[in-house]
Amino acid sequence: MSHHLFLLSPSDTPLYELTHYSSKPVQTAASPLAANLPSWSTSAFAGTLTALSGASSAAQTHNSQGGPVRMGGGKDRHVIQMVANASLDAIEEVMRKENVMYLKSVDKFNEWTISAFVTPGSENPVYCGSASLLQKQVSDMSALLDMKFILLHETRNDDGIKSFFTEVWELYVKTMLNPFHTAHTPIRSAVFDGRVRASAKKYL
Amino acid sequence: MSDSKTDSKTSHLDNMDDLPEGWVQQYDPKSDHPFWVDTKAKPPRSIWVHPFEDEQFMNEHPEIRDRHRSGSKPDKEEGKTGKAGKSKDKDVPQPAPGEAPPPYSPRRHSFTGEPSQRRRRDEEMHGDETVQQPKTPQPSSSKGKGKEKEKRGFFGKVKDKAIGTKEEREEARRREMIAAQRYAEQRRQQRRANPYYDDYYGSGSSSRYGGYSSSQGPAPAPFGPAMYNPPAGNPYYGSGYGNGYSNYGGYGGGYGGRSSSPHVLILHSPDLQDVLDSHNLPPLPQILQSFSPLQQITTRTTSLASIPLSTFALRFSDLVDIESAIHEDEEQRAERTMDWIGNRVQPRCAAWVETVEAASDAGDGPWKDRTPWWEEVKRCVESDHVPNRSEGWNHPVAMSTAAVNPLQALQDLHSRAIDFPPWVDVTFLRYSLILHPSNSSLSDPIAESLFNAVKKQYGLHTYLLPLSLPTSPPPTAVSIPLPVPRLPPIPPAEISPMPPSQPAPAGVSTSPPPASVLSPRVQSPVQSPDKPPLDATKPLLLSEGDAQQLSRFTREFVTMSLIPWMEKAVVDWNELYSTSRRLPSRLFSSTRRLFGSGYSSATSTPPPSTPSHGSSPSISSISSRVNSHAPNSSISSLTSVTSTGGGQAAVLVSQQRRLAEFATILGDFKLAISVWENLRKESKGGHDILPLLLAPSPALPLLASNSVQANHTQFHELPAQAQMRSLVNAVRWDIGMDQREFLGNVLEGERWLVYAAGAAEEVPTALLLAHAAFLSAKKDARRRSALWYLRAADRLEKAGIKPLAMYFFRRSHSLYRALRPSDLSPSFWESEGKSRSNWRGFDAVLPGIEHELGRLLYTTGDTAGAVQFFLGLLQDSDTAALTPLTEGLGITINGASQDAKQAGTDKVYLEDFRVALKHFKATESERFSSLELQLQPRFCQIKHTRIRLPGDALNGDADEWKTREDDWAAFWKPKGGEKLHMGGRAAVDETFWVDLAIRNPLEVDVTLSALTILLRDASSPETSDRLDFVEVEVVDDIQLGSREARTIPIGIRSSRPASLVLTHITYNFLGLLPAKETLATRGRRLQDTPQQRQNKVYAPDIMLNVQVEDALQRVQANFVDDRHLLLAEGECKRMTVKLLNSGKNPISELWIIGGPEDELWVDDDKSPGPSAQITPSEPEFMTSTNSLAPREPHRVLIENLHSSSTLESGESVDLSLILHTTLAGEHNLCLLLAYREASGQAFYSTRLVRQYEVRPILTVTPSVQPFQTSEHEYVIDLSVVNKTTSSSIRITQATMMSQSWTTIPLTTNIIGALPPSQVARGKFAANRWEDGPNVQGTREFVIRKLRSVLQGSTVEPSDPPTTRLQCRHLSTSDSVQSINSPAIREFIHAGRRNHVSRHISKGHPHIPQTQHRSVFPLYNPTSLDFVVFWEIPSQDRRGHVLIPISHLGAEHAPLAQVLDDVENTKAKRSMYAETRRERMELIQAIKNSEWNAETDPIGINVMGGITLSHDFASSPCHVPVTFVLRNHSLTNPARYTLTLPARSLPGSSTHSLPHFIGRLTHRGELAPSQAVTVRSKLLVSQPGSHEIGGWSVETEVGEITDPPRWITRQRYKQELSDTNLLHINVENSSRT
Repeated sequence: MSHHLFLLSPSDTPLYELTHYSSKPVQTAASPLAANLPSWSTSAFAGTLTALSGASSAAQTHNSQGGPVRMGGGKDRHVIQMVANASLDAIEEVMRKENVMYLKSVDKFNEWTISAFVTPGSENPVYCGSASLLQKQVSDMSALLDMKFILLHETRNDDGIKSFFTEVWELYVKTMLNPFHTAHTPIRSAVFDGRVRASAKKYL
Repeated sequence: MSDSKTDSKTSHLDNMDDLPEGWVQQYDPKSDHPFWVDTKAKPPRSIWVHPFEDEQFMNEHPEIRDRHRSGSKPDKEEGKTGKAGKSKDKDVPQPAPGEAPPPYSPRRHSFTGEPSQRRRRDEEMHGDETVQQPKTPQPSSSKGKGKEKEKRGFFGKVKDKAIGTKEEREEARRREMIAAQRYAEQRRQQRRANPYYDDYYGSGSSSRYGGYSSSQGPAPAPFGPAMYNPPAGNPYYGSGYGNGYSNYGGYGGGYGGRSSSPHVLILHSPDLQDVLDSHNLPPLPQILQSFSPLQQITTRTTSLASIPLSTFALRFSDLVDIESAIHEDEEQRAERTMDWIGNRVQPRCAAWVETVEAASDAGDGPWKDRTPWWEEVKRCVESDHVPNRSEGWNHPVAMSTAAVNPLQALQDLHSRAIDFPPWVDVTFLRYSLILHPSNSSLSDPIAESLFNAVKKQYGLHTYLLPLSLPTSPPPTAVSIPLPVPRLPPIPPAEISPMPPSQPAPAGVSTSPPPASVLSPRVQSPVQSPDKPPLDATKPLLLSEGDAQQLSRFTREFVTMSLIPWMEKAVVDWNELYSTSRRLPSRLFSSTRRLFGSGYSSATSTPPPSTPSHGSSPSISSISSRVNSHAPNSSISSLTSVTSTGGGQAAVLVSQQRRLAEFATILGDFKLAISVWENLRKESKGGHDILPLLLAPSPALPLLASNSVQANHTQFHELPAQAQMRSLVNAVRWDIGMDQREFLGNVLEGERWLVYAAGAAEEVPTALLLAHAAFLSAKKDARRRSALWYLRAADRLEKAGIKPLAMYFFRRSHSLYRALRPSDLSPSFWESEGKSRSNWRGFDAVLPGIEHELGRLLYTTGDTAGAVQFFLGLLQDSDTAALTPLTEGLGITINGASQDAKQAGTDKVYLEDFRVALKHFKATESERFSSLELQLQPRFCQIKHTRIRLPGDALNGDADEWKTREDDWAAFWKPKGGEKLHMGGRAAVDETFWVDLAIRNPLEVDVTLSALTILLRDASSPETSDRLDFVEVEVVDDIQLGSREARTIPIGIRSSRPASLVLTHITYNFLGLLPAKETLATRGRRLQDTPQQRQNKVYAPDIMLNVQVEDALQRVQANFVDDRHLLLAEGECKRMTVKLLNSGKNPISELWIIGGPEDELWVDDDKSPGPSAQITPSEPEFMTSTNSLAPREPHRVLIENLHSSSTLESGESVDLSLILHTTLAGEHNLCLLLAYREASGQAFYSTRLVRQYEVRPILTVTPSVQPFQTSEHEYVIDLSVVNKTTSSSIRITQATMMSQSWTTIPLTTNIIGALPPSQVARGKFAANRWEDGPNVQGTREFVIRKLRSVLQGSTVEPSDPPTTRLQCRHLSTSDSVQSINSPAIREFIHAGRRNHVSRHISKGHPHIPQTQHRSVFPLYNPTSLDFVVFWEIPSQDRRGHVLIPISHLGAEHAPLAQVLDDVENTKAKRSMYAETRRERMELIQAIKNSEWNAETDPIGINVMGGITLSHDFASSPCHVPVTFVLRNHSLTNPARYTLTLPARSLPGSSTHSLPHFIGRLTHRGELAPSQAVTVRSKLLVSQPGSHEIGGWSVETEVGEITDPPRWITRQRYKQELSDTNLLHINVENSSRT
């Protein structure tokens, strides 16, 4: 049972991504669709399953054994990223309608359920003045505003995910206190990474 | 035939008086047909049907329609209840005996009643297409009758007053005659049995559903002209699909497409096929299918409300086919279907993609809202006609049989056992159709009688279809819709010659005679050239008359037989259904369910009651008088008998479901919904159909997902079937629902398709996903669309459908890249200098898609495209925009960092690229050259790339060389100022190198070949990159590991002087792809003007350039020994430099410029130094400039080294240098050699570098103490530690130098061998050098200069007065190293200078370095220097260490006056705190400096440690104590007051303690350096060890004044501390 976390800047560029394999027991099949997915295929390539068709089962077996990771080649990774990207459509729609930070299960793609956390954003940020002076401020501000945290998960775990998001948000704010960090800077801090992992371990 | 027409004519003529107002009836003798004219219309409208049967008329006159309908009921039903209308509709036509049904005989079912109405419609529609005003049915023939029509119209007006009932009565009577009584009777009984019947089903809510259904049906579509237009544009796509599908939604009012329509199976006699074949006609099902969607059918609900359906579809298929197909395993069939769809899509998708892309380029077109592949899937899925266990749509509802030998054959057909599996619902209607070709041997009357006989025997579901089959020259081909694609039968499963379906569905078929009207359509090309081969299907070559007949038959069949039968079935089943839902039975059934008889509740419903008519099986025999069975003369007959018998056993499809399906087909949605709901609750299906029927609500997506889920659970072991069912459902949803609702926010229909697609990797499911993506894109959910396109493409790729997969990949790519409108401020992007259009988002997405695209392109043969994609994938992961990398970002799991993964992908990409490129180059070499592929990652690290000239320092900082050149310029400026040509030039015909820093940015090994550099001549920028006079080395092969960095030297040689600019490097990437990288770096960002600050303006690019010049004057300098130098600290190393004049002209003047701190001696002086041997005992004197001036460049005297004073061309000399090292560590000796041919000419330079390392070997620590006695002033301890671990060092000599002090070695044991890690100590006494030089001048110089520094005025450059130093040597040998030998002298001077300079720079940071020489002298008067000479004989090293000791003697704040002045003057206030602070620091630094030291000059020493014995018995002991007081000051006199304590110690009252006696206070005055001895006595009263202290010295320092008088400058008081106690040990000698 894997989780994928993405921290997206306001420009929808991922600043941080994390794959977490939960060791918690797998609950009853989260997605009935995925559970009963047929594995037959008459095509010659039936053996090579992509991430989406077989990922859940394969990933789960790996997890339970704590064995090697399936996120190997770039192929699966890009599908996961596509899923995260696709969920933005739904997230933005919900953001327009509701005024909450934690959007639970906004979207669903086969076995992936997507929860999101949207940091408070400015509706229509108006920045005036000469660009050069304000650029840094704008950048700083927008580093805190309108961030989207996206989590791909397979089972429902609303409370845990909410706590997880809150912690990540706190960690993110702390990272943003670094004056050299802007909304364009990928987060490479090992401390941040470690803490997010710890938090994921705790809640997911 | 003529009979029937005459009959009908008369009958209609009889009805003339029934006409509405303004209508007249006419008769057309030519066609032998009556027609009606509306005289009121302008222009007069003429129609072929009675106005009451004309829909247009009825629509225009609703009141008449109402009257017509309502009035007819009481009339015809003769007092039956209001429900009679329904039973009327259910009537089976019963024409008068002996009267064949007229071709235009009224159709009774719909309110407009007549098939001719439909004909009329067709006419209008064709009119739309061909003749603009088709108001006259026969334009060719009716012309002459126009007046008559109008005249008749006048008559008609009168008669129409009495309108309304006659026509209806006529109809009703005919209905009456039909044997419908039984049915009506039954209904009455039912009603009696169920009093709630009406209330339950007949409540007014039917109108709601009626309204609903009409709103759902996209009614306009079928009537649009497009349907009937000849194909326009692309004949295949445009019209084919356009026509074929524009009326999809019309089927059955929009609830799920064609597959949910009644299914008619045809069994025909063999000779029928022969007949058709002989006329080149397709099989009968196909002929009939072309008439399929009937327009404007009206059905009745169970509550007898009528529902107008705009279209009503039928499916015809051959019974034999079905029988053979039905026995196939369903799972296998589903699999086969999937594959079959895939096989159909595959060959055509390339053309589709082209068309769609062309259409999207053009803006819109037919493919704006559709995609051909999805249409194809829909058609294929819809074509499924084999009954299946889970649903009843495909089960036959009617069966027709056809026979050869009229009666016998018919009988055979009827009696034929139908080979269906038991689960097929055999509740069906049998209908007999007798085909009567005109060329049959039977005459018309015989056929007629045959028909009657058949009717007698088999009941009323019989029809005689006279056809005038075309003769050998086919009259005109009527275009028909090509048959829907059918799954081929099993055996030739791989061959699918199924023709793609073609335009013009149904409804087109018949029209009244005028052939001219039809001809354009008929002649229009049916097949497009680019269409896949159209095969075996024969065109439908039917004459208009036959077409008309067929159409009439179809309509008759539907309205007279099929619909009534279905309605009846619905009523019957509904009865059962509703009874079963009443409480007892529900209890009953639920009990049953409880006891687990799963399906039994479905099967347990009582068998459907046999519809009253059509006994089962009603066998009839036709006695025909056909004498021959010859094909041509045969009468084919089609027989149908309604039969409901025998199918009850083991029906998997429950009757309820059948009921629901029938109700849905008939449009009775209210009933249908309730039944479906019920089914759903019992989890027997219904999820799939309900969304089509219900109003949009959030519950519907749930239903949809449930339905998919149900499919998967139901067919758990049969995944193909599950997938197939999901696909069918999805297709139905897509067809049956309004797209706006389907895509709306409530339903989100595109997701349903994704549910249905599941995870199966099949072509149809992939297309399902693609359609979902297409719909999402239409909804503007582009990112989701991109995902689904990607997944569809993935699956299609695996299925091998490449063009389509490629198209989807491209769509996904472009949708992903598409910029979305964003409310981000533009400043957000500007803040980091990023551009919005460069957004790449997730790092793996684009490479993922592009890689797939590249592979696809490669496999499809587009190597060029593939290569371009692969090339784009090779990204420098460091420079790739916003690529998350390294730990922390990116995924690090189980220690496998993302880098590893990156390596994996890079490797794959590179391998693909290599293969594709190789192939591309091999096959399309000229395209390869024209494509100009650009490699993205950059290998060259420009900033680390250097030009290296021969003899040039590899190392050596450019800044350092710059300072050398500046030093030289500064030095030479006053002397002449000739220019120095800058160094760093290459010579003609001499190779120099470019050190290219190459780094592999990829995570995989790569090979670069043919690496070289392109040059440009700076003077002629236009010249090509290849200069013919320059030779550039080409490096063949470089193998670079992943992320490896390397420096590659590339030699360049120019054959003439030029200024070369290095523009690019070129290489072949992997030995295949020529690549070129620029060597220019961007200039700095300009900030000078506001314009530059606000925008980004950069200085011009910086290029690497090199000057090549003629070597007229050129000296090459090299160290002879070029090895790495490892030196000991303080070592003097002699090195030899070889100077070679490689230029053409002689050199006469040569200078060496070294660094300011280099201690270097150029040993070019042949004249021996002071050769006098100096003995150690004698002091030596050295004169010093006492200046901190830096070393000047040294002129090498060539004549001393060489035979002549010039160095001729080609000559070389050896120059000896001695280097003295001081500081440990790595150092570069950078020497600039400046030379020229003759004075007055400019200088040239060459550079000389030697790197060396210095290691410390000795530590020399001095310590200074005042001397104990008055003999000497100070004693200096020198400890020397050998820091090496293995070498024994020999100390050969120690030399002390000072201008104020003279030293005497007290011991000599410092001289000698010093083993490793050992210490040697030496003691020296220092005394004032009385005859020393006058240091006062130096002091005054410093005071003067510091004053001007403090006052802030300019320090005039002047050097301090020279001075003289006394040197004392300590050596064991007789000859000592003279301090005055030039090298040593130079080294000592330089060492001292370096020491002082460092000291001053550190202590006085605010005094500029250039002023140091003007402010401070080299030697402080109080300082004293030791030089320790050493050697390591084993290593042949020798050297010396300089140990400066400063601050010997007392000073009296010589700067106090100056500082006072400075502090007391009113300082200029500065507004800057920094300036003030700086000034404060400056003052403080000077105050604390050694030049302003303030110490107590008087030193006191007690000659302590006295031990004596005394006989205390005789007398108390008097111990003499000597105090030595010395004025350490070199300048000032001092007065002292020594006070001895009177009592021994304060507080000690005992007399026994020793105490001073005698004079207790001593005063005196001491000149500088003078010492005085004060003697006193101590009385010791008892023996013992005593410590005595407590005395104090008060000092007054005097000023130096010219008339000597005492002015106290400073006072001090010393309390002697405990450390300076006097120890006295007195023994009592009295006992002894």
